Amino acid sequence: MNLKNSILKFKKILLFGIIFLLFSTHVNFFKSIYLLSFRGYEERMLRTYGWGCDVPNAYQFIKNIIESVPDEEKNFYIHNFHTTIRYWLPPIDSIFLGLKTDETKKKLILLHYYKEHHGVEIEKINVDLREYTKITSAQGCAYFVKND
Amino acid sequence: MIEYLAISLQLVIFVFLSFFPINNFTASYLSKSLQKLNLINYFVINNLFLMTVLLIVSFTKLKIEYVFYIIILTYFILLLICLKDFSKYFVLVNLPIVGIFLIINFALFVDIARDLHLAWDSLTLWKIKANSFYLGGNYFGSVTDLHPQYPHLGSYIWAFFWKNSFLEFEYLGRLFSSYLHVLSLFAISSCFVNKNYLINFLIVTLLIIFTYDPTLRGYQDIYIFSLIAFFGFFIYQKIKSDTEINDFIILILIILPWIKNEGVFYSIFLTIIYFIFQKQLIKRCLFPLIVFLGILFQFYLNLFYFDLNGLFQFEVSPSNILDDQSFFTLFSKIWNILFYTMHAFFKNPILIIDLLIIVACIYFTKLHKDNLPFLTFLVLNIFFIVGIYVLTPYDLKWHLQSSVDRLLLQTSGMYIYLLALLKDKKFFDI
Repeated sequence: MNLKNSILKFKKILLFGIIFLLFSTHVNFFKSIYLLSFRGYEERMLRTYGWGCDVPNAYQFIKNIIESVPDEEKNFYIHNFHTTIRYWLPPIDSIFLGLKTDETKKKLILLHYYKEHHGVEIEKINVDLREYTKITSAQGCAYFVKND
Repeated sequence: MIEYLAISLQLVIFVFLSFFPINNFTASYLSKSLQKLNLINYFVINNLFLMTVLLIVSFTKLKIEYVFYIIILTYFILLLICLKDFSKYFVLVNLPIVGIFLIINFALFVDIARDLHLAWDSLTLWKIKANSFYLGGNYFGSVTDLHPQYPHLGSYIWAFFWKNSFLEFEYLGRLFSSYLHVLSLFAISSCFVNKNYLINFLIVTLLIIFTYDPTLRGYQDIYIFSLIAFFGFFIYQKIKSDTEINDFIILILIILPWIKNEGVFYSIFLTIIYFIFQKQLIKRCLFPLIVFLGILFQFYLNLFYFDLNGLFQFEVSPSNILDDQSFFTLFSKIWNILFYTMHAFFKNPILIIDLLIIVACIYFTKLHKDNLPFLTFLVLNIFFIVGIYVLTPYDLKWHLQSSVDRLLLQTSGMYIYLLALLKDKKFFDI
């Protein structure tokens, strides 16, 4: 009787384990536990939205600029020229708390901009770079301020 | 490592908020119909209650931190009153199911924490509103300046749990939608089995495999899915035990329009179903009236406060319907709708399961009256989806590609109850 009970219990545990493995695989449970244990929040953000000026969104480049100014001056016009094969990318302005869009385009951040490829696109957003001074840049990305 | 703690704490808060104010003990002071329900039932009711409270306070200028403290304090007093029974009921009686519920939630939470990617609409709509609430904005202030035509409740909840979390990372606020999703799947699975927790676990696992979509990070569709699944849960319980429909069902109808625009339609459809199947005359008239007034209030705000043309993202002008609808155009549009609907079936396998269930249900039960609430919803939903895409002013293929899969997923939980009804009629056994 005891053996029968033990077998029954073992069967239940085995079944539970199998279902749990099935579930875990589907929701990346072990992978998430593994990655979460050594990748902090900021690193995960960088990997998702881009190190430095990397695709897709050059998160680190934007973040460094935004964090360098006081809260009340966080008005920027950010334009990302990078597109994937099927879609244009959503702006990530909402990632940064308190960031406002500078419709006057006085402070301009251009991402993945290459003069030889994006001449027409930059005209479409009514920006003439001759009117701006470059403050900082990385390959493909730059922060400009409009000349007074 | 500290993030594990923050995630676990968030889970504990969700469970705590799900256990009050209505549970096995407080119910004895409230209503007979609320007594001796199962744990999932109480969780569903309490989460609907919480969402309604949050909806109401979202129109006030109360800071979300204060709202949180008030709710937690009230619930804590309730906990002290029934502490002994609470631990007995919660830990001893329901331990296996609570354990599985916690494991599943935790696993999904860490997956969300790992992948911080937000989808299109999340970044350009919902996160903007959530940011504003998080920074202390309110509904009549800066929050609705951007995209006022989109409802705000999902973003408010996001900001609410984000602001009141241990580490204040934005994803901690989004965990609530995942929690509600899991709860809705448990509600569905509880209709198939009651005591056998292993089968329960298996059903929930299968439902997660069929419905969990990581590409919907930050979207509101999961809220709609869960709320519609809760509605089906209440209707199923009414049919199964031949009792009154749980009165808390009205909260679903009130909340839906404030989650997403299409929620207005779902709310109307479900109200029609409620109106048909409610037997008590007073509730039959009163509840739809309340829902109607809620929708009217939203309509009023959009028209007169936000100065919008209507309640929705696009206008339906008579020219949309009359001018350009030659037979060929209409046929071509319907063909496209069918094609992309089939396409969506491969993205969300739950739709294939739904289709099989509906076919089996009609084949075996021949439109039995018990199935009618669910089949009525199906018919209304088909008209709704065809209507949207026939009338859309946008490029049809783009509109279908970007949204039909989500629209179908939102309502997919409702039809699983047909399978539970088939099981109850002993066509097969689990």
